[in-house]
Amino acid sequence: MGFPMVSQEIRDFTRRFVNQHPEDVESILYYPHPFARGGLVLVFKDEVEFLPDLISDAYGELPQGISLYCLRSSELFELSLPGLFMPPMIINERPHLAFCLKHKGILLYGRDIRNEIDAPPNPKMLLEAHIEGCLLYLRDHGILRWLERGAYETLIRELDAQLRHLMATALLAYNVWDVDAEIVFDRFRELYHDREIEEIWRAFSHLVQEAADENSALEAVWLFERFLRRMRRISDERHS
Amino acid sequence: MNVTVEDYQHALEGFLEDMRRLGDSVVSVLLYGSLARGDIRPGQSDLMDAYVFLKEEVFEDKDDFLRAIEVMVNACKKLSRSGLPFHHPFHYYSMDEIKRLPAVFLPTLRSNRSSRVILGEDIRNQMGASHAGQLVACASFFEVRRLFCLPLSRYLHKIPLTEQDRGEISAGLTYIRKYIPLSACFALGVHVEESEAIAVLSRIVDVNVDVIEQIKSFQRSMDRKPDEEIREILRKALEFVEMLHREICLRIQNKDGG
Repeated sequence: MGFPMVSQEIRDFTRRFVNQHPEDVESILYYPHPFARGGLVLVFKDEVEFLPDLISDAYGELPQGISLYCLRSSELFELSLPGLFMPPMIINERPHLAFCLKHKGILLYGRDIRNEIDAPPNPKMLLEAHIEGCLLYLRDHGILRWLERGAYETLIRELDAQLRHLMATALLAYNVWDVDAEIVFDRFRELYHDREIEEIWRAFSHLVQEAADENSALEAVWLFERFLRRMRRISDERHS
Repeated sequence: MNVTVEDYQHALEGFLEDMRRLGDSVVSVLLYGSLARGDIRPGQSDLMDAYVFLKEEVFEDKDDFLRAIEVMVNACKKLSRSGLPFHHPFHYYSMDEIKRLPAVFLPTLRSNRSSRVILGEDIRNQMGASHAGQLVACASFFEVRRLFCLPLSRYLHKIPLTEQDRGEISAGLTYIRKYIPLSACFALGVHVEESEAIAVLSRIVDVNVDVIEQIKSFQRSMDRKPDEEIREILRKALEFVEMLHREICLRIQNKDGG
């Protein structure tokens, strides 16, 4: 993930927002994210009573796909929380968020809060939580639903993305956060040296190259389940 | 289509028949939600809120696993064709994942009032959540607020509201009603089942929870309500979420010594 550029659209949004609420805004930061389109953090003064009135326009004017975090200056701890793992509906940005903000965040307005943001307190637990999110949501909202609807290409593409995202979460245990979907497997292989994962990855990569049909989709599901089980063991071994 | 409670029963029987096709692979099928509680609202209640627990060995053998997947996918296809609301398929787990269930729903799944075993063994006393799952549950309030509540702010001053806006507000109000009291209880360290969350919340924080009942009643006739009233109930709902948020943050800050 290279050093980010802030688009004119985001700069214009920031300028407009500050002009509308000069008394209330304390700080605005932009962050890039390896698995999402990046976002903005709007920090308000602690005296602000009711946030929804202040941010009402912000949601309407926000550039497409950009995430928004709105909090008061005493609520910065929220930026280090684990978030919700609800694949495939939501990409959980939070495991990487604090790192992206601290190390690649760009101050667009006001006080620089980057040094006040803590890294997630227990990155090893994030992998466990991510796996559990896949068990709960990806199997029903993703796997069963895509197979039921014959959405084989979507299934393979989304499971491929999820394999990469899971490896990225696993890398946080080594304090490695600056990886994107393209290089994540290489970094994972260097640090985990896990033959089974490497074998599954190779087989999955082969599937991604082929035309999607029911058979390749079922093969992808089987490989994904094996991957999840192996990752679970890796996570358990690291805890024990 | 005029949907009745009998249609739901019929769909449930068909689902059970499909799950029996899993043979020895299935250990237990657990129902939760309105179908389990017996308070179905025809046309609104969702199919098929269930957990299917499969033997661990099924996940170790490719042929067994794909056979189980085929049975479950066929069951989904039938439920889709039933004409009843089927927003998401059921969950499936391996028995060695039984201690990795979602902590926030665990009290609901374990409760006799809110869940029902419809096939196989009663394994509810074996269910558990991991430490990571519990941490996620305790912090989920903040992300539910960020993702599903605060974006509704855009409608507070929007004139007029389109049909799409009304649909999004209604979905957001449902989220607030169903998940905010529950996730707030977990954030405050009280693990409750979904149906008890509002009552418990009213005892542990000084926040008026009547708004939840007001939202519920409002939603029943929301399609006939003028924009002004929709914005008003939305404001009340967001005030409720924000008051809870301030209270939770305050308690966290006091606990951490500021």
